[in-house]
Amino acid sequence: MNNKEFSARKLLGQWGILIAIAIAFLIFSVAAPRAFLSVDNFITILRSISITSVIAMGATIGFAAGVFDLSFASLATMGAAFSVTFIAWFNMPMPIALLATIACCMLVGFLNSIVVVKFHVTAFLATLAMSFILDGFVLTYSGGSMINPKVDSASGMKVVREVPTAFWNLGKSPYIIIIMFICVIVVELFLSYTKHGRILYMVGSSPQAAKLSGVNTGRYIMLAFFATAIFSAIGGTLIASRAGTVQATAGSSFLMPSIAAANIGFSLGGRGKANALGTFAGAALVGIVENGLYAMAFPYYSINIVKGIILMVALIMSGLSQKSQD
Amino acid sequence: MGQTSDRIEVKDVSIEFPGVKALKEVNCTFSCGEVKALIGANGAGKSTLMKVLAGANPTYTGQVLYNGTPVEIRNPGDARKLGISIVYQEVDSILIPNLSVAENIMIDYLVYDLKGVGVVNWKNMQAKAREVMKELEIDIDVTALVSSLTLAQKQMVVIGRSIVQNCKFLILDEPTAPLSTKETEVLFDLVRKLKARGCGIIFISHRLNELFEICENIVVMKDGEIVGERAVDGVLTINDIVTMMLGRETGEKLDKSGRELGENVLELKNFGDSENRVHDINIYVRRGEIVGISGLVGAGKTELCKSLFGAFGKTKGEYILDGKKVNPSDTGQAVKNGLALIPEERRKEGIFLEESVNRNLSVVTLGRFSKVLGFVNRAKELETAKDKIEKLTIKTPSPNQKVGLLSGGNQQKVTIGKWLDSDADLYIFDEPTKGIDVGAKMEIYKLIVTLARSGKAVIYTSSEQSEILTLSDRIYVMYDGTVQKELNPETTNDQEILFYCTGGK
Ligand SMILES: Nc1ncnc2c1ncn2[C@@H]1O[C@H](COP(=O)(O)OP(=O)(O)OP(=O)(O)O)[C@@H](O)[C@H]1O
Ligand SMILES: [Mg+2]
Repeated sequence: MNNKEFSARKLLGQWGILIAIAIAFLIFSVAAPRAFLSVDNFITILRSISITSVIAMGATIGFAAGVFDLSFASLATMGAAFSVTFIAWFNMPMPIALLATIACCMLVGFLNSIVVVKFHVTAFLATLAMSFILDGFVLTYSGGSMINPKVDSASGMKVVREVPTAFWNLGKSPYIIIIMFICVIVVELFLSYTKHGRILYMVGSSPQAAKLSGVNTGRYIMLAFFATAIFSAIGGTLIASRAGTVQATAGSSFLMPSIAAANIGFSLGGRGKANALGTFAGAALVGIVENGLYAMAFPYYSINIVKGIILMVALIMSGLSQKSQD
Repeated sequence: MGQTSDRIEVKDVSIEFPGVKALKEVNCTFSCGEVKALIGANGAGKSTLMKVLAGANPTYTGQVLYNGTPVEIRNPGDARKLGISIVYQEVDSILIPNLSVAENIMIDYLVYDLKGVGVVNWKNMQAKAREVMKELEIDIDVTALVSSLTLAQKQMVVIGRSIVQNCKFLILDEPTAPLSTKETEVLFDLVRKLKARGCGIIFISHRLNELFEICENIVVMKDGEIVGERAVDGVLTINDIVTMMLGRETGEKLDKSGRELGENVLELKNFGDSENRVHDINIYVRRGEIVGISGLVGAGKTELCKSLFGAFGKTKGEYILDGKKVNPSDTGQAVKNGLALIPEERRKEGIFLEESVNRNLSVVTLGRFSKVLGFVNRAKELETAKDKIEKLTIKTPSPNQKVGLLSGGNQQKVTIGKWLDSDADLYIFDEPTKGIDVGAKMEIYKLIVTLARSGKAVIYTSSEQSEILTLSDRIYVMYDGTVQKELNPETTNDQEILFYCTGGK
């Protein structure tokens, strides 16, 4: 009714994340100026959000198409394991190993889409099952222990090739940050500016109407699964190259932050749906807060509480922005 | 039961949405025991006013008086306490699809009356629901799931629920739009019964001839204002109403000339779908021809349209398009084969409620705006959208408005608009004028004729017989999933169509 109240609400709803990022930034700059406010730390923040952002790009495309793919984190673990072992155990040159990793992940995406499209299983449930399979598969593949490409594995695989420095560089700045930005930009361009991105959103918002507009909805759902798989593979590669080793839980720690980032990002600019820039902003918000809390020497075991609160507040804000449009 | 003259007065009620002043100081009175029609062009504000009374538009300004006392209707609960019930234009929105009819009718009992642990007395509940349905002479199995009902039946369920809730005022927002003559009669009987019980009925419809059957008074809205109220006194004519409604006369007759009938675009021989929703269909449609398909609700008109469009997968029998045998297994192929379908259930199947008008209008022809690497040329897209908005007189504050916020009739125009510039050869219109005002109806007829003039073939289904008679070159009547009879509009009439519609041979 009241116009002023109306636009304030709208402002908070649509640009709330950016405001929140700015506020978080200010608070930490004042509270921990030495540890927080430096170029080095800024780069640290970017580096720390890069893997989340890349993996979350896949989730973003999934959400856009109305597909809740829960297996992307486990898929990232598999990507991590494959990327490094394809080189070390199977003697593949690095470019081939990376392409092969992406291909394997896409195969899983393909299986997911078959189960969902052909057998009409809800995406959420199908991919829940798939994530169990993948987790178990990676454990079996590694012989039940951590993968270290420098020593022979518990599963009896021998190290036959040394992993090149180029691979480890992927996980260092500036490369990892550049890769992140490329991924964000590509997905933003794809979703917002291309025909196929547009149709993905249509499929997400009403599969029936899309179908009767002549869209082959099954194919687009498959496309979404493929995209998710590709970004999981890239994200997984980054995990391996940053950590040097691959734990069986490597990917799963990115599950919640990625889903959170994508959902926080829904409301950015009043878009009201999953989008790349929003997801990036969401990841940045979570990253800055986490980093700032560390800088303030906040006990690490309580940080999840704050992260949870941020997600909650962000979701409430985007709920408000939805309401202001009704 | 008490005084019969309970009444609701609306005083200076206004409401504004971003970019639209939907109601401007509306004044109006509704009384018990009276059937009052509320009419107006698409987007005039009828549904908005009714939603105010139903508590679904809480931000209104002004006053609502109940028997002279000011009341606040800020949520559906307030409306319920005053005895106001509504059957929304989107009937589905207030029924719970995966519960049974009985549960939906007795929803108040389930939500409010169950005390303690809340053990449901099924027998009792079903008996009560059955009683209500019997009283209203509605023949629906109360144990069936609501999701399995037809639209007409769902309406009956909502009305049944209103009776259980002891409503004093019943609002029917375009209840007849999805109904054919037969079902409409049943509904009207019901309305008369309710009126006899002292219920006040507010009735919205775009089928103006119906109003004369059941209404005593007609209130006309235009651009958010009430522009007149007239009694149905035998003097009032449809033309008077139309003039009030649109602010201009429309004595216009449809000009169908200038078309050339060419070779067959579509030919079906013993056509049917894999699950026998439709079967043994033998029809043809020529270039430049408009073929009307008539039939009651449930006769299989929509099913025929959808199976032609590949929405049910592969089909049986011979399906010949442009002389070539085809069998589209999905809708994408159908579009490639040169088909366009304007589906009946627009909210579910025709439009993307959450997307803008602009994006809805471009969804079918997106390929044309995205030549380079699939990037969409937004300027061109917007230009085309603006063009269509003007051509179809879609009432929207901007091309970027969400379609879900447009009025029902304007949503329908968007559904048609998206196919307007596709290169289809065969256009299938499934009840395209459902919920569209008289002025715009004429526009749509003209549009269809224009398509036919340019050599397209048109299939046109409608449950309104008068419409079929004006528009088509030939009429097929469907009954029970198949085509029962071919008729010539020059020589046939309402009664004959109805005869074949109801299974006559
Ligand atoms: N929630 C909303 N937000 C923004 N605009 C709205 C909203 N609800 C209605 N409108 C606008 O208000 C106007 C009146 O709409 P309303 O639905 O009352 O029309 P109507 O008379 O029922 O038309 P129809 O015959 O097409 O159903 C329209 O221009 C519509 O776009
Ligand atoms: Mg309406």
